[in-house]
Amino acid sequence: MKSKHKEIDILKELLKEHGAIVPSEGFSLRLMNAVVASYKFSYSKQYRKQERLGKWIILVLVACSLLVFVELKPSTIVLEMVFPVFCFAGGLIILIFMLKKVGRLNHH
Amino acid sequence: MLFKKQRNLDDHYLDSALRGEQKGLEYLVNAYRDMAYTIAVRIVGSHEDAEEVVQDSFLKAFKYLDQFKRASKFSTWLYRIIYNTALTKIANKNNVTFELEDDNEYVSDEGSALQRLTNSDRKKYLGMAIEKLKKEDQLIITLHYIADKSIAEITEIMDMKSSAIKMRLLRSRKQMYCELKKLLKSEIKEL
Repeated sequence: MKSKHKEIDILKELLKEHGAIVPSEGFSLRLMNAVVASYKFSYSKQYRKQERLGKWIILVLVACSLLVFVELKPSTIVLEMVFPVFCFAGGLIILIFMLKKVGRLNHH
Repeated sequence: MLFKKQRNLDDHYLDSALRGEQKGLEYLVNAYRDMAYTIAVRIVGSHEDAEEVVQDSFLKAFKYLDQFKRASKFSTWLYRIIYNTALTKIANKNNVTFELEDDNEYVSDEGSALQRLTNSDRKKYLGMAIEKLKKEDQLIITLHYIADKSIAEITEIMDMKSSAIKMRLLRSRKQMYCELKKLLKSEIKEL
């Protein structure tokens, strides 16, 4: 029993230390690039429908907001209120474009 | 405790990969690449074919990552894909036979060359001792002792009965130990 355990321990030690076969660096790099490229492609393909749906929802929400805005008759609202609202909307649009640009840079 | 920590880490990076984040993919590839390659080499026998098998298996695994139910470890699931892809590769090549029930000893002509080698290169000797085993036994030894897979997990990967795995493990261990004893006389004494 003792010799059996010794046998297993020796084998374990040797196999742990020297048993694994390491692939070349070139292959490791190729593998990583292939996996990342193919996964990003399939991931974007997988969520293309959801992305389109999301864009439609945003479009409807923006249209509704504009409708409410028109209904409120902006000419009757105090000018001091309209200016900050436009600034906020403008800032939001700039932020969205900046985030899109950063996302695109990370993707490349 | 260590396995639990590893599994939590795997789950964390799996979630990250599922969200399409590159760091998750990189972690999973780096963590399992070497072991995947070792398994592939043990089955297909050549480095070129093993590279193809590993690449195909990783692409397949990540393509169907959202279908991985986490009933087993990610590594078990991945190694099963590698095992099946390697078997398909062998079947397609049609020049390597995968003996399941043949108990004949595998005879290698490397035996005489071994006598001329020094005792310093353990890795080489170990590789030679493993190569003397049958392909399936090589894989079982690799999965159990190098990849730290339990008998139950090997059963899942290779789709074999646990009794058969245990029997093969015992036989291969004995055979390997005898082989190494011959090759590494002095080193075994040191150990």
